Amino acid sequence: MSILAIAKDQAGDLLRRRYLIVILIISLGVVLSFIGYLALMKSLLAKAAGPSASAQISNPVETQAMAEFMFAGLRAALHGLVAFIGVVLSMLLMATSVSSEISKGTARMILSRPVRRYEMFLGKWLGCVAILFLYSVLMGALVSGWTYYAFHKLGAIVPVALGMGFLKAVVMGTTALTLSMLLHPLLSAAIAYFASAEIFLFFSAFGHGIVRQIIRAPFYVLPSYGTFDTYKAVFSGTNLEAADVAYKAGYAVLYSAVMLLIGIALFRKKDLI
Amino acid sequence: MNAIETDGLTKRYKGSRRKPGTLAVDNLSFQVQEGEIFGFLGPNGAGKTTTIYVLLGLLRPTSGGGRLLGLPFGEPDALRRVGFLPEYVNLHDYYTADGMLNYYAKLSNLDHEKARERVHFVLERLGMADLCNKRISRMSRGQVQRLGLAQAFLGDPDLIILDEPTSSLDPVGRKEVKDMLLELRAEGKTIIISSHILSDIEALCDRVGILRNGQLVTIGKLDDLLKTEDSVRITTEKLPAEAVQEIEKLGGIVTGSPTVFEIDLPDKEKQYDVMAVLQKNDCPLHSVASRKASLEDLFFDLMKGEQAQ
Repeated sequence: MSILAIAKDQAGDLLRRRYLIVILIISLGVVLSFIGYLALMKSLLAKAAGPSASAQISNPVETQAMAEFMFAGLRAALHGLVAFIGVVLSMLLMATSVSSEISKGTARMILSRPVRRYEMFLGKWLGCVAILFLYSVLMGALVSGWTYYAFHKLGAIVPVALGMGFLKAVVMGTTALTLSMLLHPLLSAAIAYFASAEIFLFFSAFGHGIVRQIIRAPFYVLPSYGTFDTYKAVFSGTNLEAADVAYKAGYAVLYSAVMLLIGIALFRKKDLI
Repeated sequence: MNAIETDGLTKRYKGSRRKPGTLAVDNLSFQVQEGEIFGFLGPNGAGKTTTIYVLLGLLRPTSGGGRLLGLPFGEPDALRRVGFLPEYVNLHDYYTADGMLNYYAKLSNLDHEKARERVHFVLERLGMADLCNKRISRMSRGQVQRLGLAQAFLGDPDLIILDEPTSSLDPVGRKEVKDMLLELRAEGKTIIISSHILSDIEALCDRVGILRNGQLVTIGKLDDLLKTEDSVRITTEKLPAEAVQEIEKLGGIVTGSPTVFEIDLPDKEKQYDVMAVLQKNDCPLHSVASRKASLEDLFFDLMKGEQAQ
């Protein structure tokens, strides 16, 4: 009961924040511009493939293949852009959700009522997840609508890629939320953003023997954001296998749950001065 | 039964390697009985707010403990019966008064019908019925303070903890709140007030506890604490220096201008000796009045002790 009331309050509060509205409008503008650019590319591609173009272009087949290659790259970049904005939004919202209640003193008003700390923590998290979901649905509708309009088919990878973007944003945001129990919210967001397991995997390639294993150790602890990247699949237009999607979703749920448990444990010990 | 009991409660805030944390509450043991109005006094930094936060479970004690309404501090079953007004009323200011109270009612697990009834009642009782649709961010400080009181009374609590409840209110508002608190006591509610406004504490409280540097300096019924301070004030004029010396030897405290002098005698029995001194020095006696010390006198006497230490 309290969790839902707090989640509803959190979501309502976020929707009233001007900076969030500004970010959403800018995001929408950027994505729409990108879609416009893609539409232009598509018309150029159509011209390149048309009969009138054949006379002017020395090798129309090769030109069309290159244009399609570029177009696929830009389409993958569009999905990447939507996911990136989601991640930034997620970390901003989650890192500040509980810590701002503490710094403003409103947490005291909530916790002096019969509300357990885990209820407040989960309620705040859930409110942020609801807003992220709303963002994902809005952007998903936009990208899917355009994809359908442009290609007369959606392709299973489009909703899957949007879903993966949402999961990635939730995992990164939850990490930022947990870190915000120890650090300044902005620092938490920055650390959560860069604390990706893949970074350590990358650097471990430069070491040898035991050094390599030491550098690699954080890979097994830190979140693997790369798991949710779908650029290659979007680029090639191939779909992910159902088992792969289930694994990634399970990973996101498990990692978020672990982060939430750590965050709740830290919040329970926190003095609300 | 005690509404609150603490046993050796200590709270030290976290420090750094170089600087040890502040000891805000030091081995504090006291009880508040059900149905009384208890005043919590002390200068800034004495540990009043820290103690209240520990009682509510907002801060974890470093050592010691106690019970709130028979349960450990911060237990939701106890908090369900508690109303709290913090010193700085930080409400969720994007709500209207009505919206905020409904949100807090949900957090207090009030059912929809009961919540609607209580929200209407507290807004009416605090004279805020006209402001129920006003956004909190647009309210004056006094209005926010009233709304803070409204949320504290929302769940019809058995124990009400108020940190500086009248600090932002005008004289009319203060009077209304004081009357309301007396009504609530008559209904059997337990009320704890932490305040700097000593006249309010004196007018309202059955018992007071005075804190200094995190320690309880004194605690007891207000009547008992002030009775021990019964003294006599003698007013006279033309008091020569020799007479002043003699009176001071008798324990009198002489204050005043060259024309009118006031002699405060903590020991009532010495008043006749002082009068004899005045007669010997031809000083006219203007008045002799039995003087009951005010809470302010008691408070400042105890704080003088701190400065001396």
